[in-house]
Amino acid sequence: MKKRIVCVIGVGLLVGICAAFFLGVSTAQVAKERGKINFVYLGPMSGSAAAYGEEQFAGIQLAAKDINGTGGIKVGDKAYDLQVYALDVEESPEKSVTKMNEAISLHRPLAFHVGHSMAAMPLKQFAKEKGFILLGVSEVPAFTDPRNPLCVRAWVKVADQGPMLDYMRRLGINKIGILAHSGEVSVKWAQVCKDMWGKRGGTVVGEVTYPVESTDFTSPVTKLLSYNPEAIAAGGHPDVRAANILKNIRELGFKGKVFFGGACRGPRMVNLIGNELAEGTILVGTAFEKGGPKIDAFKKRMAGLYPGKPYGLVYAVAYEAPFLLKAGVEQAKTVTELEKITAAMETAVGPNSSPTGLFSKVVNGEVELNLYSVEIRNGQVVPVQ
Amino acid sequence: MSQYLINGLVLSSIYILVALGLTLVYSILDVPNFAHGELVMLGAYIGVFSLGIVGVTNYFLVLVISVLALAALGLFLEKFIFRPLRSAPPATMFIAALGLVYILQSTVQLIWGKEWLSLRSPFMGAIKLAGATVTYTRVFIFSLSCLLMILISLFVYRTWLGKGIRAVSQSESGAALVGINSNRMISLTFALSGALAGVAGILLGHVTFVFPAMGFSPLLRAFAIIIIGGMGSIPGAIIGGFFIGAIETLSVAVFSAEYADIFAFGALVLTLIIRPRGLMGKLE
Amino acid sequence: MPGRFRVISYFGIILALYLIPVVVRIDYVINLLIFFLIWSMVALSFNLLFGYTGLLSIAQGGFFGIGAYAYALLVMKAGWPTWPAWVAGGIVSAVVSLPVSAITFKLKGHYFAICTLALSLIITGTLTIWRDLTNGSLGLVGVPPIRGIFLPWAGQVSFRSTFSFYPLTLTIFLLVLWVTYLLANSKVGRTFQAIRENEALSSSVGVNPNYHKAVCFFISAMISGLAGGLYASYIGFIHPMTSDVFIGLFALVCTVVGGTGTILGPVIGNLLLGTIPEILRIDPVVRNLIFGIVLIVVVRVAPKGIMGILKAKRQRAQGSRRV
Repeated sequence: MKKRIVCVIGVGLLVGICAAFFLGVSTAQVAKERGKINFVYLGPMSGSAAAYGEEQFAGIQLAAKDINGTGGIKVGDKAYDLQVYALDVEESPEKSVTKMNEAISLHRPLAFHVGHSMAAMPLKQFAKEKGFILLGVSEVPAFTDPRNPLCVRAWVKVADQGPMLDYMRRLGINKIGILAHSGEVSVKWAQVCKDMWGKRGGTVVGEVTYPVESTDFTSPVTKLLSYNPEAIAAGGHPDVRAANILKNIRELGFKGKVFFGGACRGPRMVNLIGNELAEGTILVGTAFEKGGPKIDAFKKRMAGLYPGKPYGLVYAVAYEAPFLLKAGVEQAKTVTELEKITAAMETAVGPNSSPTGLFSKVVNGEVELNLYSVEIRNGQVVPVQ
Repeated sequence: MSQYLINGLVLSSIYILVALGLTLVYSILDVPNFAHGELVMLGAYIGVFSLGIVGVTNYFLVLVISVLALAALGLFLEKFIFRPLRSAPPATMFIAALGLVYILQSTVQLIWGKEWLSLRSPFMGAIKLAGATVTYTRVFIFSLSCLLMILISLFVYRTWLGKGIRAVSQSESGAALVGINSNRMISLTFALSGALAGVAGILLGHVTFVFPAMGFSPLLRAFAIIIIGGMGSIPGAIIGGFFIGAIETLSVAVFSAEYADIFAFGALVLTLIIRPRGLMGKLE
Repeated sequence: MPGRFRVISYFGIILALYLIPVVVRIDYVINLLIFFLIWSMVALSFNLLFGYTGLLSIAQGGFFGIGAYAYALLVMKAGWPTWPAWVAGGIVSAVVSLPVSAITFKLKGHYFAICTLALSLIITGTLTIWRDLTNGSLGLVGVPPIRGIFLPWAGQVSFRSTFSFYPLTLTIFLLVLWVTYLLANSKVGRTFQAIRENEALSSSVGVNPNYHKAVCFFISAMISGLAGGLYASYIGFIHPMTSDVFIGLFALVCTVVGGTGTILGPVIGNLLLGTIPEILRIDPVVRNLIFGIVLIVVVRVAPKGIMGILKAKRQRAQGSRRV
C-alpha cells in the first residue's frame, strides 16, 4: 500500500512539474511588451567545450550590464533593456534546434548568439520563419554562403590567414605541410591555405588529414614530416588539440615554424604544454593581441574581473556581439524589421560603436577583423613584424 | 618508415594491455566487459589525481595507486554487478556493462570537470633509434607493457592461481569438482583485469590527453585485437595487438590517417566473417 | 463491449494527439514531440530486432544516418522530388542491411553486438571520408524539407515549419507502430519470437531462421532509414555524426528500460529517458549518470522493463479479482 502511495505521489509530482513548466512557457510570451530585448546565447555549457561556453556567456553578460548601464538600446524615444539568457546545446545540432524552439517559446528573442558551427548551421534556415537574427561564432564558410540576410558572422573566418602567410614568406619559408582533421572547419581551412600559399609563390609539399576523434597525433605528424616541410600550417584546432599536436611535432624533432589557425588563441595551449614547447608558434592575431588604448583598458578590466582564468579573444568577441545588435537596432530604428537591422549593421558598425575596437566593420554579413601576425614568445602572445 | 613502426609498436603495446584485461574477463565469464574502456579511463584520472598529490618524482607510487584502486574497483564490480547476473541471459550483462559506462563517465565528469587534462611523465628527452625519434617516455611505455605481458603470461600459465583461472574458464563445474573455488578465481580475474586497466590508463594518458571519453577508442581496438587473436587467448591478444598496430600504422603511411579506424574495424569484421574464433581462440 | 470500447479510446487518443498543435501553440512543445517521435521510431526498430528476434544490434545509428544522407543527397544532388527521395532513403538503408545480415548472422550473442557496433562505426567513417559524395565533416546544409501539400483552405503548407511537420511525423510514427503491432501479433512475429527462444529448435520444425532474421533486419533498417530522412528534412543540416553509434545505444537503453519485446516499451522508454530529462533541464552529465543507474537497476530488478512492471501489476490485480 505504501509503495503505491509513493508511486502515485511520484507520478503526480512529475505531472505537476511538467504542467507548471508548460504553463510558464505559455504565459512567458508577454515579455516582449515590457520594453525588453531578449538575447539568447546557445552554446556548449557542458561537454568538452564547456569552458568556451562559459567564457562566451560571461562576455555577453558583461555586455548586457554595460549596455543597460548606459540606458539600454534606444529606438526613437523608447529605451529597451537587454535581457540575456544562455541555453546549453552541448555540441549537437539536434539540441540546438530544440533549444532554439525553447528559447522562442520562452523569450521570443530578437537575436541568437551561437557559440559554434554545429549549433549555428541548422538554425540558419529557421531564422526567417521563426523571426530572429542569428549571430554566429563560426568559421565555416557555409554560414554566410549562401547568404542569409539574417545571419551575421561574429568571429574569425577560415580565410583569415593572409597576413600570417605573408609573414611566413617574409621569414623565407617556401615549402609548407598542412595538417587538418576531418572536421568541418579544418578541411576548408586547409583548402584556403593551399590556395593562398600558392598565390604567394610558396609550395605545399604535403597534406595530411586525420579523423577528428583522434587523440594521438604521432602517426599523422610523422607522415607530414616525411614530406620535409620547412613549416607546418594547421587550421581548425582549438588550443587543447593544438597543444597536443605541437607536443608531438616537437617530440619528433621538428624545429621549423608552426602556424595554427584562428581557433587557437594561445593561453590555454601555453598552460597545457608550457612556455618552451609553445615558443615561436604563429597564431592569427587580432586587435586583441595587438593592443590599443580601448582594448588594453578592456583587458585590464577582464583581468580584474576574472583573475586566473585564461579568458581572451573568445570573451572579447562575445562581449562585442550585443553591441553589434545595438548598433543595428539604433540605426534602423526598429525592433521588428529584422532584415533592416542586419542591413543597418553594415553602416552603423564602426570604431565608435565598438567598445573595444574589435568589431569595427561589417561587410556582407561578416565582421571584418583587423589581422596581425602574432607569435608566442615566452608564454605570451605578441605581435611580430 | 621506421618512425611509423616505432609509433605503432608503442601504441600497440598499450592496446595489448587493455586487450589482456578484456580477454581475461572474457575467458572466465564468456562475456566481454564493455565497461573495460572506462576502467582504463579511470586509471588515467586516478593517475592525474595521485600525481597531483605525490608529485612526479614518486611516479612508481602513482602507478601502484592506480593499480590498487582499479583492482579494488574490479573486485567491487564483479561482486555487485556481474556476479548477480551470471545466470541471466548474456545480453543482460552486456547491458549492465553499458550502464556502467554511463555511470563511470558521468561520475568522472562530475568530479573532474570536462576540460582535457594532461598526464605528465617523469621522463624527459628523446633518443634516435634506427632513424626514428623516440621519447624516453615511449621507450618506458613499451618496456613496461612488454614486461607486464610476460608477467601475465607467466602468471596464467605457470602459477597455481593461474591454473585455477584457466580451469574455471574451461569448465566451472569441473573446476569445482577438483576443489577450486570458482567465485574466488573470478574475483581474482577481475582484480587482475582492473590492475591492467589501471596501468594502461596511465600509459595512455602520457601519449594522449586525459578526458572522460578516452576509454572508448582503446576499448574498440581491444575488441578488434581479441577477436583477431582469439577471445580468451593471451598469446593471441599479444599477436593480435601487434597485428592491429601494424595495420593501423601502415594504413596511415600508405593511405591517410582517416582510414586507420576503418581498416581496424574492417579487420575485425573480416575476422568475424572468416574465422570467428580468431587466430588462437577456443572453438565456439 | 470492452473490445469496441478499447478501439474507440485508441482513436480518441490518436485524435487528441493530432489536435495538439492546434491547441498548444508553443514551438518548444511541438519540437519536443517531433524529436520524441523520431527517436521512438528508432527505438521501435531496435526492439523489432532485439525484443522479438533476439538480435542485439547496435547498428541503428548507421542506418539512421544512411537514410538521412540518402534523402539529402537524392534531393540536393540528384534533383529527386522529396517524397520519393524519402522513401528511397528507407529502401537504401534496408538494402544496406542485407550484406550486414549476411555477415553477422552466424555470430552469436555478443559477437553479433560487437560486429554491428563496428559496422556502425565503419558507416560513420565512410560518411566522413567519402567527401566527394557527402561533403565529409562539413555536413550538408540546407537540406530541403519534404514537399508540403496543398490544402484548399490553407494554401501551400510547407513542412519546414515545426507546427506542420508534427502531424507528418505523427502519421509516420503511427504507421510504424501499427506495422510493429501487426508483425508482433502475426505468424511472422511469432516466428521471430520462436527464433529468439530457440533457433535450433525452430529450424528443426522447418523454419529458415536466417531468412526470417534477414527480413526482420530489413524492416528494422528501413524504419531507421525513414526516421533518418524525417530528421534530415526537419533540421535541414546533417553531418556524419547523424549516424553516430550513440543513437543505436540510446535506442537500446530506451527499449530495455521501457520493456523489451513490447510494442509501447521503447516509446515509454524514450519518453522517460529522452523527453522528460529535456523538460526538466537536467544537466546532461547528470542525465547520463541516471541512464546508467536506471539501466543497471532495470537489468537487476525489473528485466522486463516498465511495461513488464505494469503487466505484472495488471495480472496480479486480475488474479486477485478472480479469487
